[in-house]
Parts: sequence; C-alpha cells; structure tokens
Amino acid sequence: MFEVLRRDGPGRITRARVGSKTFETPNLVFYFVNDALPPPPQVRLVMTYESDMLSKIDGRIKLVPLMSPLISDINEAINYGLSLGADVLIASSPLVTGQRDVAAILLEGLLESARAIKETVKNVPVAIPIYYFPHEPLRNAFLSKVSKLGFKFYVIRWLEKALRNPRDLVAFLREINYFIGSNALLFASGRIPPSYYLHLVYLGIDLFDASFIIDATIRNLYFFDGEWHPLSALSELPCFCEACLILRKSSPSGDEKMRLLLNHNVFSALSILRKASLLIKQSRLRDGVEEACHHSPELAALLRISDREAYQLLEKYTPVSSKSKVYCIGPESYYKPSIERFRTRVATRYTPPKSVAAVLLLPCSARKPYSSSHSHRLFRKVVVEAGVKGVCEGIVTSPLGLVPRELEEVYPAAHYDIPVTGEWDQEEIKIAAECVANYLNKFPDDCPVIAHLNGGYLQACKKASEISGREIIYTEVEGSLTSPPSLSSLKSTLLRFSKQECREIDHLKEVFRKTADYQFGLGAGEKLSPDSATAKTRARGEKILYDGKVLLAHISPSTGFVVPTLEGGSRLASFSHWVLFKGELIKGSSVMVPGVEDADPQIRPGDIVFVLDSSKELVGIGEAILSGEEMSKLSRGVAVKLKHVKRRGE
Amino acid sequence: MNASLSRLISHYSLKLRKEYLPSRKPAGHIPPKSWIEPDHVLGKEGHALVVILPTVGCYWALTAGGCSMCGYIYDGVLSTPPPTLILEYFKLAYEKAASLSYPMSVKIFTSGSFFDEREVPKLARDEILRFLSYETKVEEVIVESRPEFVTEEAVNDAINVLRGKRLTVAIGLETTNDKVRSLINKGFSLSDFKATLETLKRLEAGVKVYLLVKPPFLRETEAIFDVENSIRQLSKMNVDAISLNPCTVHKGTFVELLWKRGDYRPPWLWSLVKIILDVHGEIDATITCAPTASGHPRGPHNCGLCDRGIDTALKRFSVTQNIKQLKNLNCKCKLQWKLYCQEELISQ
Repeated sequence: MFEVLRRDGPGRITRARVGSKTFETPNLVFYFVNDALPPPPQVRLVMTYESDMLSKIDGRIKLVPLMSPLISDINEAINYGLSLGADVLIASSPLVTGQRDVAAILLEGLLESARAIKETVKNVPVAIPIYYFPHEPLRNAFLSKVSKLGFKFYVIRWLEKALRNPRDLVAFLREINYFIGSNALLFASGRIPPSYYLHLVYLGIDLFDASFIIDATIRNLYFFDGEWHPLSALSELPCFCEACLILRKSSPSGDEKMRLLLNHNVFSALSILRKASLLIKQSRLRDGVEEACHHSPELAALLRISDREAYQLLEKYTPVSSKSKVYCIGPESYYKPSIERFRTRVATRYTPPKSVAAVLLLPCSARKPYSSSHSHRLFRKVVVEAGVKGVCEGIVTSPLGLVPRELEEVYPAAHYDIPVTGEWDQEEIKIAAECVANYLNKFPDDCPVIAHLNGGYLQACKKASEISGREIIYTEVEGSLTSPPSLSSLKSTLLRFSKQECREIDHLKEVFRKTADYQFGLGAGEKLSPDSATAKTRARGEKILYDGKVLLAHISPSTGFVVPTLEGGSRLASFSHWVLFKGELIKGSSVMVPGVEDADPQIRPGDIVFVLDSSKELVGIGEAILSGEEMSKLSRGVAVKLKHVKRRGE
Repeated sequence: MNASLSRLISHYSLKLRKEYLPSRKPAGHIPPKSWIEPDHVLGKEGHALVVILPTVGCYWALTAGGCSMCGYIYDGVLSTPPPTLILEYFKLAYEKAASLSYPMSVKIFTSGSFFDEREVPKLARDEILRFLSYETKVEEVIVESRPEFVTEEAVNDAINVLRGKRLTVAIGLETTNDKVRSLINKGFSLSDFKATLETLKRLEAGVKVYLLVKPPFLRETEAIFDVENSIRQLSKMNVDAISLNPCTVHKGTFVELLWKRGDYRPPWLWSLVKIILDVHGEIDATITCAPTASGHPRGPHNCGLCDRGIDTALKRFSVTQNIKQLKNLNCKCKLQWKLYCQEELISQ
C-alpha cells in the first residue's frame, strides 16, 4: 500500500495509496470532533466514527475505528465500519489496561480480532494497534505475534507514556523495527507534543494524531516556534499565516476565533512535519534533530540515548553519502551515525599500505579535502623536499577522529564542517585519541610515528600514545604549525627516518584500494585493483583505474566513492553489496523493489551495489536508494538507480 | 476473552473481599442509613425515603467476589441481625418521613437482595412491608434484588402484604449486552432477567432496571453506545423505569484497582446528558439519573467547573422528566469531552 520515496536514517518520506486516494508521510491525522473544530484545509487524513461527521469529509482520507470485540461481534463491527465508507479501518481492539495478567488476556483478544479482520477485510487497508508497555517481555511477546500477521499499518498506542522514559522509548522503537521491519507505516497516536515530531520521525514514525493540538486549541493556546503560549498573553501575533491574518484583522470571537486558532496551530504543527520532509530530501534530517534538541533537556536526552542505544537502527537506514555538508556543531554531533560509521569503518576496514617508512600525524584543515588547503600544501612540500619515501599520513580531527590520507575525499571526510577554534573538549579528545590509537596499532611496531601537532590535536595524540603504548616523536612547534621553524623541525624529524629500501607509495592506487575496502569491506581493494592495475588522473581531474586497456573504475568526485565499471564490478560482484534481480536482463534505468529477489543486508542507501541475475551474473551497477533489508522486504518503490547496465548481447 | 476476563475479575474481587470484609462491624452496631430525596413517584413529583438496611450483604459478593464495581458490601455487618432488630431499625429510619406528604415512595436497599432470606429473613421482610401498608402517603415501595431471588412466591407474598400499594422491584441488569455484563462479573444473563421480568409483569409488580454507565474495559464512546442500546431494548420489553447509574470507584473493588493504575476514568457527566438527550422521545419508560460522587475523581465528572450544575440538571430531570433541564447546558470542557471520546477510540 505504500512506497518509500526517500530516507534519512529511519526517517523517511513515503507515499501511500488507499483506494484511489494517496497521501504522503510524515503527516498528521486529524480528529473530527465537532463542527466548532472542523478539519483545517491542509489536513489530508481525518478520523471520526460519527456518520454525520463522516459525510462532511470530502476527498480526504477517512480513518474509522471499529468497535471493541469486548462488546460486539467482530463481523458486525467490520460491516458497520465498511458501511461508513472508511478508507482505512482501525482494527477493533479492547480497551487495553496496564496490569500484566489483564493485559495478556486483552492482547490475546486483540490478536484474535486481528486474525478475523485479516480474513474478512480485503479491499480496505487496516491499521492494527500495538502498545507500549513499560514491561519489555510483555510488549515483545505481543509484537512477535502481531508481526506474523503481516499488516502494513500500525497504530502505536501509549507512546506518550514512553516519552517520560527515553531509554525505554528508544528500546521500544528498536523492537518495533526488529519485529516489524520497515515495511509498515507507523502511526503514533496519543498526545504527543509537536516538539517531538522531528525526533520521532527520525526514529521511524510516519504519522501523528492531532489530539495534542486540538486539546491545546480548546485551552486557547497558540503554537509558535516549538512553544505554546496563552493566546490572551500575546499582545501581537508573531505568525503571518492566513488564519493569523484574519485573527489580527477582524479579531473574531467564539467558534470563529477557535477555528482560526485551530487552523494556525495545525498549520504550525504540520510545518514541522513539512520541515522533516524537506530535511529528509536534503539528507539533513539529523541536523534538524540536533538543532531541535536544544528546545528541551528531554529532547537532548532522547537524542543522546538514541545514539548510544540505537546506533544499529539509525545507521542501517542512514545514507552513506549526501549532497549537503555534514555539520558538526556541538557535542550532539559527535555520535552522528554518519560520523560514527566513518570511525567504525576506518577502525575495522582500513589497513595501511605494505611498505611504510613512517607514519606522519597531521592536523585537519578547514578546507576539504585537506590536501587542497594551504597548510597541507606546505606540509606536503616539506615531505617532498625531505625526499623521504613511504610516509603514510593520518589526519587527526574531530569528531571523525582520524582520517587516513587515502580516504580524505570519501564522504563524510571531505564534507564535514565544524566550528574551528582549536579548543577541544574532553569528549572530543577522548574520541580522537581512541581513533588515533587504533590507527597506529595497524602499523608494525617498529614503524616510527611522527606527530606534527599542537593544541587539542596534541592532547588527543598524547592520550592515544598512552592508550596504544606507541612511542610518538613530536616535532618542535614554534608559533603555528606552519611557521618556518615548525616546518623545518618537521623536515629534520622526517629525515631521521628516511629508509633507502622504501619505495614511494602509489598514492592514487591506494586511494582506490582503501576506498573500495571502506565501501565494500576489507579485501575488496585487492580484488578490484591487483598489482597489475594502474591508477591515474585524467584531464579535468577524473581519477580512473584500469588494467591493461580495460577501465575498471573511477572515483565519484561528489562522494569520493569508487564506482566500478561492469568489468571492474565483476571482480567484486559476489563479494558484497549484491542485489539479486529476479529477471535476466534489466530494462530501463532502475531496479524496482518487486524485481528484487534478495539483497545484501549490509547495503545502505547511497551505496554502490552490484545487480546480479538469477545465475549470479553481474547485469548492472548502480546506487542503492534503499537499504538492503528494505529491498528484500518492501513491496513497492525504486531499489537501485543504475549507472552501468549490461545490455542484450553484451 | 470476556469469559477469561470475568474469571480474572472474580479472582481479584475475592482477594479484595477477603482483605476488606473482616473490618465490618458486628450486627446491631450500625443503625440503618436513611435520607429523603426528591423523586418521580408513579408519574408525579414527590419524595422518596431511602433506607439502607445493614445486612450481612450480597451473597454474590461474598461467594464469588461479586460485581467489579460494587463496594456496597462493605456497608453491611458481619452477621444477619435478628428480625426484630431489623424492624426496629426500619421504624427508626422511617421517622424521617414524618415531614413528608403524599405522594412518597420508600426505597429499601440492602446492598444486596431484599428477597434473599439470608440477608433479610422472611419475618422481617413481611413486618416491614406490613408496616408500610398502613402508611397512606406511601404510594410505592421499591426494593432491590438479584433476579434469582425474585420468585413468584416471594413477590406474591410481598404484594399481598402491601395490600394494593405498588411494589417495584429494581434489578441491577447493568446492560442488555451479555458480553458487557461479563466484564462486571454479574453472574446472570439477559435471559435470566427476562424470565424474572415476565414473573413481575404477570404479578403486576413494577420493574425498574439499573444500567451501569461505563463498566470497566469500555471506552467512553462504547459505554454511551452500550447504554443507549440497552435503553432501547429495555423499552421494547416494557420495563417501567430505567435508572442510569454512572460508575463510581468504590473502595476495595476491582474497578478501584484499575482506577489506581490510571486505567479507568469514571464517565463524563456530558455522556449522561448525551445518553438521555439521544433516547428521550423514543421510549416510554421513565429515565432517571442521580449520580453519586459527581465532580469527584472517583465519580462521574467533567472539568470541575461545570460538574455541580450538570449534576443538578440531571437530578432535576430525574424528578420532573422535563427534557428542557438538559438542553443548552454548556461549558468549555464539552469539546474536551468530545475529543476524549474520539481519541480514546484510536489511542487507547
């Protein structure tokens, strides 16, 4: 019934089809309570059970709840619901209460009625309720049973109770993802403050209801920029929406005033969800969430706990690249999934080149890639002048920790932006120290390590030395790192470690190898680029890899990723990031979800993937739009956008 | 599901009874409670004398845990008082009626069944009714009983003793929906009630039915639906009067367990108004609704500002049967109530 159009973490834009109507998420479900509070024009989904209200809803999506099985026969309830012209039915469920033994009976009854509905209702989508219980085994037992029924739409109840306990909230959403996956719409019902919308969208919620907003409106509260103000306390309205213009001009009273207030409040809440959509399209939802977490300590706690306890969930759906810059403004950015993923991949997938004379640790630069910066050009010049071959460079930075020179153009290394002040906090020092220590341990014990650093970089490096037990040789810095005495100290230090037997590292070829390892897993680089292969930079700066006359790959200038040709790809196809295509030859420029038999669960949106036919022959290479899990589980949508396709006869 | 719930409710109720019942007082230690209230007496405005006889209490509560919302049993005493004492007490209570004039009714409640001889021995029952048969201003005597005690013999005896005064038997049917009644752990079915109803009709006794507004496990909307449905069905069965009893949270009950956990909210007063407005004009039976503890968190309540006014309007309606009493009631919280009704269907 729905397809995922775009993703950013578990947050997504979907388009759902119910009958002949469609709606997009993230979105808001309105309760049609009374003529005094009619659904504002921007509202697309309306819920009501009263037939006279239903007849007033034209062209919008009608959600109708069914009567509890505790008081009525399920089939009667279904027939009644259908007779009201529902576009979506909310499955009949008993009023569930919290006491465990009582709840167990009620949930069993809910499952029973869900099964009956599954049997009888075929043409109308049904949303099935799931509950947040503070008791994990109880909610898991229910989730596990209900997920087997294969519904595509869930109403999450009592989530507002979990807002008080962010740890449990995160655990619950993780469990929902574990049992239900992403092939279902998630509607969080109940009084959830709009200030939570961005966070909850980010964690995978698609729909909210308007109860909080309607209640606040009845209480004469005015929503502006994340806060609720008593309307009477505002001497001037800060908003210029249509409703506010009328409120300002004609100062109406009674029902008319309340209707306008409602329109403004719904408009404002909806604009948060629109903002979420926009951010998802820009792959910047995470930035929005980080910004919004400054609204309240609760929201900040929720984000911190999400990063700590739901990294796998967040990372699984976080695109591996983005067109926008990665902003790392404050501590809430240190554990951004895209950043944490970079650190993890460097830690687990990076191996140094074979023959290294020395490791040189350098500071990062504001300009990216680092090597294009003024300071790095000076450092480079010193290394060349010293004539020392086989120097492997690592760039110390925050919050990425350590960027091997070979990966400096890979997303997010060339795409992040931080406020550069030179002052590091303890957390940053700790993160960087661990990354540097890990990096250094990849080199042979006798390989000398030179650090040309100062300030926070130096502190992190000294700590890394403690952690790793590696001795580090520090250059003598006078003034700035690029001052003539500092550079000359760098040069003389390097000269001490010149080794005759070391050859120059073929940097560009290492870039191909290390990037392939980074993208596809350790060992991919060797497969793609054996010793016989050659890397070079063509005119216009295009970096290519070839073997004999065969072009193997190029590097995407926007993401820094290796994009293999069909020939290059065939060397990697069965290694990882495979998408098993149901047919033989691909027509068109994309692979749709229904055409996917199975896909490597390692695949993330934005990854370069290898499309294999049923005999495991490579038939295409492209960019993943969805995660591997979604490609095999969703029922609609685009899975892969192709870059290279094997055509008939090729 | 309903049957399993019913068993669980019974289990919890029995536990609660065991905990709370021993603190009751021995027989003879509490005089009967009584008071006067305005009432609708056989089509006329008048007054009722309400007498609560302290008995050993409802056998259903004592043996099976009883109804999920009922705590009246705790008003009883540890053993059945001797018949002479019961009569003495009743007469004492009746002194309050001295100031009343015709027409009046007398409501004798035992927190159980008037016709259960373990609660009210036959001798006491006869003596009380005989005493009332000589009171000229008394038009109607109303007693309460579970259907299993409303036998042809018992009713006949009572009618004979009353010598032409109207006997009305009030039965706590609570709902016409057997599924819903199982959530109250009531222990009898609609067909049991129908048999009793037939007996009473044949003997020309009046029948009053109590309906419980918002039993546990029902959402507000479902409760309204259930009561309206019950009223319409009962009207077709020709009962004389229907009393709407909004559920209140009694101490030592299963409903109190739910309420303490935040899993139960007594009905809104708006729901009571809506029910009466919806069915009024469709039915012949008298509808009354005199909420107890309204405005209190344990009783039916709205926002706190309008509770008293609506409670009064409901009580005025009950006495006058004039629907105007319930029209044009308003408060800001009426919208909150509408919202509550709707959102509860989706979010709870």
